[in-house]
Amino acid sequence: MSSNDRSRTNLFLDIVIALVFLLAMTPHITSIPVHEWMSIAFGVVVIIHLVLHWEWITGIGSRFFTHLRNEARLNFLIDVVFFVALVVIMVSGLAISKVALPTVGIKPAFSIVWKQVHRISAEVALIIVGVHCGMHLKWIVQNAKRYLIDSLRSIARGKVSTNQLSGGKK
Amino acid sequence: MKTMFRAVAILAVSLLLGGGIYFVVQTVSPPTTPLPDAVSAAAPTGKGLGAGAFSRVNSTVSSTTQGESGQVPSGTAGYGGRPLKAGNRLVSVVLVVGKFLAVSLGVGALKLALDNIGERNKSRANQRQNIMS
Repeated sequence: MSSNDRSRTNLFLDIVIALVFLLAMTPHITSIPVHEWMSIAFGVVVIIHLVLHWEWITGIGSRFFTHLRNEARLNFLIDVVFFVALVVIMVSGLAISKVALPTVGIKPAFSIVWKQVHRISAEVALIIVGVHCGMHLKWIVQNAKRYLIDSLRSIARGKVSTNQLSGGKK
Repeated sequence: MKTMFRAVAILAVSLLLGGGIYFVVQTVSPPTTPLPDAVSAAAPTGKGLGAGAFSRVNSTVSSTTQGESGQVPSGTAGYGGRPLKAGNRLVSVVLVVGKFLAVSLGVGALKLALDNIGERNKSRANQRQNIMS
């Protein structure tokens, strides 16, 4: 896979992850069944995201305590905290599941503690995902401009030119 | 094959971490005990703040909340309990998206400013070195 293809795949996958995460954060809108199944699907997409960034994770992880730029070290720390927060959200979400787990025959007992853990970890994860996106804002803006805005512009131009051609033929 | 191994490794780490967290929280949190039949039968099912919570509990409740039918933790209304009004739903969406955008744009702007200062300092240091040499 070329560098451009990889950037494009990463960008579209990251947009999907961000949208699904924000949707999953609003169970009042999506309803509980959609919230639960969407969150499980989100976990799968996060694993794909981590697999795509495997080289970066192992590279930074192996050099974390030796020579490394502070920015990369900070990014790694943020990502580790985010990963832990996501695992806590998943575990606490499954512990209070009302739809997904009962579907497979497991009925978890309701617990206020798990509910509070779920709520607090979700709030923490929302802030950390904001910090994560902020740290990569330059990359996001550059690639969104290259792969989204420019391609939309070229599509619009293509449509205009084909319209002009078909108009000319008529 | 390599990708599969990586995915399995990530899943294994997640499961280990998740299992550890589950064990810790289950150990620390008070045990959940089933409600007596008389209490669950008497639980309100109509209107009221406790109604939604009791219907969700499904005849089991944390021992910390036994007998406190009126005390429902904040944030549960509308989450399986009473549905939120359209205006409140909009507010919850705006809050989530607003928090995300505020943090990401704030951190992004701060990082950009710090990067610019770093670049400026570097170019100044280069200029000084050129003048000295």
